[in-house]
Amino acid sequence: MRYTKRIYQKLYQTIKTDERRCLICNACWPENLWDSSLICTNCQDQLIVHRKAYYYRNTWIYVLYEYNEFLERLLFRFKDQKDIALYPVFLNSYHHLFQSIGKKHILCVMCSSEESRMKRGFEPNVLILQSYKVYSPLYKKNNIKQSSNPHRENIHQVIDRKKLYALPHQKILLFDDVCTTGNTIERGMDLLQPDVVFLLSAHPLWIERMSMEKQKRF
Amino acid sequence: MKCFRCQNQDPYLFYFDQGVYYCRKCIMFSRIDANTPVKKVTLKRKTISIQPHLKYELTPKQKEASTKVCQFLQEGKDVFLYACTGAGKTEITLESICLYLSKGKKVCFSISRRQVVLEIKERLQKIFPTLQIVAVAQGYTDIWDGDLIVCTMHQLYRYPYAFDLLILDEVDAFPYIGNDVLKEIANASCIGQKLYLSATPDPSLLKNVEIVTLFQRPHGHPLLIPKVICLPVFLQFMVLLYYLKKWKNKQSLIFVPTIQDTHILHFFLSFFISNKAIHSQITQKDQIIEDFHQKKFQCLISTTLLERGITIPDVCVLVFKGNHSVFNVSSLIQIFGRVGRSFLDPIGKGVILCDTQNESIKNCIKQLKQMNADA
Repeated sequence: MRYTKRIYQKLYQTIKTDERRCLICNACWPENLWDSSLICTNCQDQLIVHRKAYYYRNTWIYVLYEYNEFLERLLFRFKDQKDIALYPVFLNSYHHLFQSIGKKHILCVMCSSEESRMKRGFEPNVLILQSYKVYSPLYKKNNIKQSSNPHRENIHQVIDRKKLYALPHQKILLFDDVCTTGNTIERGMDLLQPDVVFLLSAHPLWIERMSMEKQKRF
Repeated sequence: MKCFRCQNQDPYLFYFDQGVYYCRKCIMFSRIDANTPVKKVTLKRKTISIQPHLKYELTPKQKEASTKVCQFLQEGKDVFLYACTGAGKTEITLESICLYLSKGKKVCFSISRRQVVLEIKERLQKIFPTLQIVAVAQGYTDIWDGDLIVCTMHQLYRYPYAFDLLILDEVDAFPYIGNDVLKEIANASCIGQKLYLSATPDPSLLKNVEIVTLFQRPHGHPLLIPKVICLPVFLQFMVLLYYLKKWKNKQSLIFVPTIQDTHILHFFLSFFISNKAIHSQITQKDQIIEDFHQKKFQCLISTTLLERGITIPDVCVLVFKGNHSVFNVSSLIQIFGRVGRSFLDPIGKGVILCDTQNESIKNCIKQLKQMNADA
């Protein structure tokens, strides 16, 4: 399989042009713009960078983006339409920030249900952090999707910790892609007692709720 | 390497995953592997003999256009119906729809915008009360097969090789124009003939099709030539208010170039006139339009969202910041096409407020005059 993949990729490299294009909209890169970013300025403008941390339940919760329609569509395309080519765009030019926050930590991710994982063929949070060593110590007992769950507060009955999954004795950074009501991440915090939490994006209503808490820019 | 759905052959737009390449050009319509044929969708096919129930009779010019369209379609040719706004394009397609249904063929009416899909579905349901007409659009995807399908162009991906007659309305507008993926998806969904409808066609769309024209509205009155008033923006607010007060017995549609302008005007006008704003990011669009139809408020402020397909009888139209680049020729023609559709007020009223008269405004007036001359 590995060799077949290599042959495929070699063949692909021979026909693929080496022009740079935006990974989201596929627009060609302007000739006079040198930028290490993977997405064009137009797509960048549509992402709302939040970059704030909130001190909640004795833990700093770092939020990179504010969740908006553009990010919702992007995550849908990545997770549900399985456009895995998008995985590097989420942390894009913020890897250095992520590394500085989690340099002394082990990285744990919130889980998907087994059914979603089977359907997708990948775990989105693990793929977003592909360049790091990632642990996934949690599991979902059933396939309830939080966004369509009318009883979101019952998440403690859905997410649990894997029994035979040892973790190194280090501080934990817990990562999740979206925080809507905060129930999922709070359940993760209960189970893993992380030192810090890193959220790729958070819903404006959750951010508004956190506005009363102690906060800092990062 | 080729995608059989969008015909993409650009190697850059394929990505390798799990042993296969998939197409990233049409990924928004679900993932499809390269070199994989698209499966034909199976829909119910019934032979239905039906006649349209219209409250009015088609004018001789409409009948003539309808017959011509039918003739070309029967000859197996694609047709472009180039008719002015309010000429009754939908009514002209009815004969063709009946013809195809009577032969047990599948017909789809496809439109660019969701609101218009719902409105056309209602109109067609009144015309064909016994037919099961289904609207397929965002939020309306549970049932997607019926005797007659009305859908947004984006929903055509559900119907590969399905339709014998595909009617494509407003083909010169976003999102169809310049969108290769949608074009290919529309092509893939049609195994018979295509009937294009537009009041402002792009020259590229008129190639390889038979053109049928109609520039006269059913009431026989000419199209409105809007009044152009050049003023600085702050004075445009005052003049806008003056016209709204002057036309207080009628409902008004105000078109603005940006979402931010809808907020500003809504705030400004709320001191004087009952009004609401509508734009793409508002969630309760259907409710606002319904309230406007029921005359619950006098004035509706809109971005170009409502420039096409919406029919509100007896409405006056104002364009604010008319020289903004958003308002191109076809957009302005469509906007003033909302006016004078009613038999009670066949002429209507319309004003463009602008800093300066740009090419789009000049060309819009020139084309409207030309259409009136050709009628």
